[in-house]
Amino acid sequence: MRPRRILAMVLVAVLAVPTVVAPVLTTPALAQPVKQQDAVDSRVFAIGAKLRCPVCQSETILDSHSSSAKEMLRIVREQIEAGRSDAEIVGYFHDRYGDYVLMQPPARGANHVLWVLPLLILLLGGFWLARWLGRSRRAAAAQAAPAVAFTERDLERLKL
Amino acid sequence: MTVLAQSQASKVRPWKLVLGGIVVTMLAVLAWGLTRDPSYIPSQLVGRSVPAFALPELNGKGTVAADELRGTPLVINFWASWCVSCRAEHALLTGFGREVATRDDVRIVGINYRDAPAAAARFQDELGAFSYRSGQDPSGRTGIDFGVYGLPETFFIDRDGIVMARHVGPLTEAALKHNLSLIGVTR
Repeated sequence: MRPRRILAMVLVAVLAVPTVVAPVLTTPALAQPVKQQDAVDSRVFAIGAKLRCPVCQSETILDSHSSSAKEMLRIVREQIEAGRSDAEIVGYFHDRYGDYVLMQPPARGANHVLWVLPLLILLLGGFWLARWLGRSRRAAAAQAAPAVAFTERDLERLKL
Repeated sequence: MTVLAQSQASKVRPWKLVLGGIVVTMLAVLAWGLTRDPSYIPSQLVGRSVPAFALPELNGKGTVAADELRGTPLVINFWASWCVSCRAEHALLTGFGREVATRDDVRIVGINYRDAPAAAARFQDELGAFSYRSGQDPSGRTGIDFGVYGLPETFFIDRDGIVMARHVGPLTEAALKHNLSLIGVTR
């Protein structure tokens, strides 16, 4: 493989890393303190990591230190203790704040754009990269080949 | 040489046009996005029944409850002493409150959100007392039921108890007039 192609592949790989790593780093599992958590706590963490704090900028209610987020977490805990399901608790907040409160917007209606666009950009970018690499390779090949073939007469003339 | 130049100029690459179009469209959408307030949350409550609440009154006597407020168009204003922009609408609200006291086709109550009665009293000492009752919502639970995220927020509820409008930010004369018209109140 040509060094340029290897470089391009490395570049693509490096750019792709955050999309794979970011969701892993932000999962509640890593956000939990090291000490042993009981079942209720782990559910509070799991639900809290799904809900977006309404008074913050793109922060979960688990991460936020705002008193509003803390109160929402208290509500989550109370509802878990009252025996409500995860879906019911998320629904409680969704009812009041809409899609805004969900860290991951549901894939429906206009939200599809959010899910499709990154893929589309990746595909178009890949297509563009392929075209660009192909063209530069052809250009390199054209440069390597002699532009004009010497005729017999030219060769004769060169003979001094 | 001229032949070569011509052949390059006539080469139309459709994918380039498509890609360019997509990039321009995206830039336009993103530019439009910059003009919008990222913290704005559309109300889920508009068109639905007003959430039930029964809050102790700020002055310690009685209760401010949703049930007793049914049957008449109602304005509910969420405020707090720590809310800076609440100061901007205070004069308008107290003025409107005095007007409401003289008529029976509209009512107004305040909800003192995530605040302490002492701080709320200082706020009123400084800016003038509210001309209507306020309920206490120190935990903000009633606020959550209303989908409140940033003070001040004002809700306009019609005589059937349906929330018709929500105003985020300091109320203005024009906004008050417009939203009142949505609950059948002329001013």
